[in-house]
Amino acid sequence: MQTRRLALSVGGVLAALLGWWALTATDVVAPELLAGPGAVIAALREMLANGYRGTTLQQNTLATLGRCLGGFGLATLIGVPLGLFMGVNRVASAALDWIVQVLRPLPPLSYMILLIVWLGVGNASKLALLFLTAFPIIVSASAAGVRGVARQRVQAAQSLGASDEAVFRHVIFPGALPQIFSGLRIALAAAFSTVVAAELLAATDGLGWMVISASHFLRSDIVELGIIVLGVLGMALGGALLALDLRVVHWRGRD
Amino acid sequence: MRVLVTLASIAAVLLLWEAICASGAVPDLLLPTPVETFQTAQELIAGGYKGYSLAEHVGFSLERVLAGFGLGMVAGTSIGLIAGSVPAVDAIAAPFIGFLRPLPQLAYFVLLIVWFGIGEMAKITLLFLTALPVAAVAARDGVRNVDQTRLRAAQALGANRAQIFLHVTLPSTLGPIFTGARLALGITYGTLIASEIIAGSTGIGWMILDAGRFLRSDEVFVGIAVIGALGLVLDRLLVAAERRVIHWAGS
Repeated sequence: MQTRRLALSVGGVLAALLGWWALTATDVVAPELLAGPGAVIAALREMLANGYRGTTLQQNTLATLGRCLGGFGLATLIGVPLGLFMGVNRVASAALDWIVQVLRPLPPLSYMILLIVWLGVGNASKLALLFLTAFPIIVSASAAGVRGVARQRVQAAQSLGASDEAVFRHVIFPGALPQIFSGLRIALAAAFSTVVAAELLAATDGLGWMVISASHFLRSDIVELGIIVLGVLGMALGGALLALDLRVVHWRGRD
Repeated sequence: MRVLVTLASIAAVLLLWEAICASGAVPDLLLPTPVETFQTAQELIAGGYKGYSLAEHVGFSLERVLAGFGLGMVAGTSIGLIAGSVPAVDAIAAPFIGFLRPLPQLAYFVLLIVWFGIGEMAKITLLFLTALPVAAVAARDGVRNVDQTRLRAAQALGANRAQIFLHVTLPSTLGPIFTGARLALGITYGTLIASEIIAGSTGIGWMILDAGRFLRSDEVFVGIAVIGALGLVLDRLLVAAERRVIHWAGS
């Protein structure tokens, strides 16, 4: 059953690649519109060795990942403790929750314009943008995680004589972890989408910049290479955080 | 108590905003005062922005997001329902959906612009491709998680495959489909704004980009507020639709 599934998956991907190759090899579509697999592999070699306008693929990948993980990391460092605090402290929640709820549904690119006006087109505005993209998602998830902890567990720990600190460390925090990780995964995916959009709009390096700049010169081979690299990176980032989630929250689904 | 603290907090933020403007620490060009922002909102509502009324700009954006989201939901949900019922289809679709879903949407927008130009076609295709994988995953997982005892009960009572799908699988899957739809609408809406900012000449996303170019921070502020409000309205409408369709939820 598993091998049949794998065969079908691999077969589907191979068929798509073959179709792509056939479409481009027969000159049905112009290479400026759709470069073939061979051209994309050639572009990959060129981008790894010489780079696109002086910036190698490795440097562009690092620039994009650095921005994404920088903003996401900062949002995690501040958002998780703040969300936990809002979860246990009702006054803090009442004072701050509306800010998070206003920010959360806003498309990040809408305030990107304002951040560029305030902080310039450099890395500061991008870091702020990615922080603001991930932050409300992480805060809400952390606060919701605390509120979702079963009351009986907290009361049981208290009646057994646990201090407030012990209740937080051994009951509330582990109880909130599954939700926190779900929030982190959504936030990372959102930040990864946003970093590329921001690089399309205003950047001088990064994969988003490479893709939009190449498109101006109708270098579809480089555009397609960029899309493939971004897709693989997206899957890798999501997979890595999922693996961490399953390791840390090893009791997930068995509660 | 809770409401009072929230109101006090909102008032404090507004006062702080006013105080920063009044102190002159930040130029008016970068941060308009709350009163100015309110006046600009009235001007934009009355006079429109660059040839179109505010309502028309909102209308352009709405048309795009509803067309792309609607088509993507129909296609994605169909693929998901079939993939959830037929393992072979799932095996073929899974790698493509798995690749498309985490792929930053704006990356393939560039290719769509090369293909279709910067008009409506590129944007609606972009939003279609944004909504599709989210809807497909939600529907597929929904079908997989249908209560087995219900399926067996229907089988035991002699229902055929079509009847089971129509009367057991589909109603049980509606909840996850709507959850996926809310997620998809949020992502599609964000992508719409980004696409209007990157390649647009109308719509509310384009409006804030254009206002930003002329350093009209007050107009940018109003634009952001409109975008936020419209996003909330769309989400609430979907929740209302869900309550109507799944009227048995919770019972």
